[in-house]
Amino acid sequence: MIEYLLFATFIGLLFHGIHRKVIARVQGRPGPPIWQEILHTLKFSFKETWIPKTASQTLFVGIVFVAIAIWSGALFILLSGGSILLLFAVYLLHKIVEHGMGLSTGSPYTKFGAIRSVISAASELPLLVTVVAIYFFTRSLSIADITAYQEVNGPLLIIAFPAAVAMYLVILSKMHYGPFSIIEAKEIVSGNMTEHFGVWRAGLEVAYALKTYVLLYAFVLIFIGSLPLWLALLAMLIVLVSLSFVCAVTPMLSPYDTVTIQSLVTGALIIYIVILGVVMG
Amino acid sequence: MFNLPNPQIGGPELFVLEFGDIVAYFSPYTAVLFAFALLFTVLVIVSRPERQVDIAFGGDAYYTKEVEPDLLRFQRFMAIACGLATLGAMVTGDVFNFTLFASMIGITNIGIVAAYRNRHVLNAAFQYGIVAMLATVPLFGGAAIVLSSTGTLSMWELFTAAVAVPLIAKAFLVLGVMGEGMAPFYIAKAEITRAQGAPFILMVHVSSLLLFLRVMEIVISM
Amino acid sequence: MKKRTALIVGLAAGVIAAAAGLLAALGYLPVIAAELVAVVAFPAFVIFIALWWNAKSGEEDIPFIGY
Repeated sequence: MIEYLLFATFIGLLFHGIHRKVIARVQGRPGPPIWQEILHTLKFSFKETWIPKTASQTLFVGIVFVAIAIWSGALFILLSGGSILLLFAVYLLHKIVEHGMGLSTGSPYTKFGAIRSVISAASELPLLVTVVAIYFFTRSLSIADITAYQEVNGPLLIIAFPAAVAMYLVILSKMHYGPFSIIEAKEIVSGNMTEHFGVWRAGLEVAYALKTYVLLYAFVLIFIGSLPLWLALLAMLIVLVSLSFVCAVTPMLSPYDTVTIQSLVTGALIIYIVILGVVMG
Repeated sequence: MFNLPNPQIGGPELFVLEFGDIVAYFSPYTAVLFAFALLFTVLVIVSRPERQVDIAFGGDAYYTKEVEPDLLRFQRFMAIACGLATLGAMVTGDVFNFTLFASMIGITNIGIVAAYRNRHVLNAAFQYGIVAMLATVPLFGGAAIVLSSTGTLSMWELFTAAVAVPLIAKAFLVLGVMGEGMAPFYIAKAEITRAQGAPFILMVHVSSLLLFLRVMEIVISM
Repeated sequence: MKKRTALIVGLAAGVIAAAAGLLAALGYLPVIAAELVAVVAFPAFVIFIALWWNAKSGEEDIPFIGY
């Protein structure tokens, strides 16, 4: 079991490195080597570590454990073909992690990161719409059933294209350096991660690597179908590179615009669901 | 004896506890939610609030706020009550009990937010209180419509294909839970920039999100 | 926390997770139980191993902190 987690962490960190490299190349910079994020995580883990004096100590430390645990759980949900409603739950629990991380320190920067995390709750709703739209087609929310459906009827990417766009947007809003990553914007230092340094930050990097791996893998599994591992990794890489292009050419939006765009997309998808409901009974 | 009628949504049932005709249960989905609520309730019990740092704008000065013990005790009490209500809402197998737990979460959320003596925070708590009270109308109304149209409130009956729940009841339930779960927005509006108490304020968030996740499962299953 | 404690906790978490995976592969343990063990043990493994290797052994020079 732990070997899956280590593999996913490693690949996730590598994906983060590729993400940075592609962004840099699109913007005409040389960029860091693609294993930079792996070194980064190791670097943080070797730094001197303590708990800030103003922090709520238990929460400050506990939230890092929770962050790693929920995304480890999400990986196993995917591997064992569990329910995508559960995956959606993990995604929402990640919001609590972001929020708790920001609140637990007492620093104003992390608090602002936490507030931005709360007001951008609209970034979760597209995923819910995805779940409901998929339920319309497959009449089941278990990943095993969804992949079985796709073997018979072809990939959901074509059948339920708007739902795929919604999930794409969800992944985009969680990518580093993306247009929606207002919670870690530089005007508030590093947002809600500001005060988590050293080992805590290394733990968070591990959690985020798992998160990237899980979200990309879920996208491939739900919308393209179950593939052999190397092909799945290739598909994930293609999705990632397309995300990197979006991140490279768009500036970070203001919090207000972020929420507006996410709400508009959610609204459009709700209309799609209603149409689906009318057409398919 | 008990088989969850639609295991394709939240997984098959793992554990069933019977109180007469009220049957609480765990599916993998609700078990995960329950574990998460339990974890954060324990965190609330064991952790102390942070000491918030405030910057005096226009200079380099900053200061930390002191935590009043009375405030701490009250907020902790409310947060633990909120955690218990969340645990209840996660395991219950009865729509009316679910709405009761949801409204209890609303009440305790008001308590957590209103504990802090600051004009902006109290304003936000007041506004949230009105929203939560208004939301009890669709919340209990939804449960009432479910009962009157199907003759039962047990999820074991409602989740079967034979029982058709009217769309308006589902919409009312979701609307009610959205009202009860609005608390994080009011907190974002006023509270967390001014008040301390991270583990307790986080409980507001945990309860609202978990409530939302649970009502999604119920509505999709019905 | 002592450097030694961190190592023991980290290694124990790693060994427990690996053992659970092995037992599940051999069929002695349900897969879901092994996954649960891995979910709980993996964060402890990551954090405590990192805490172990960055902890001071107590024999370093005093760093230069300015005149």
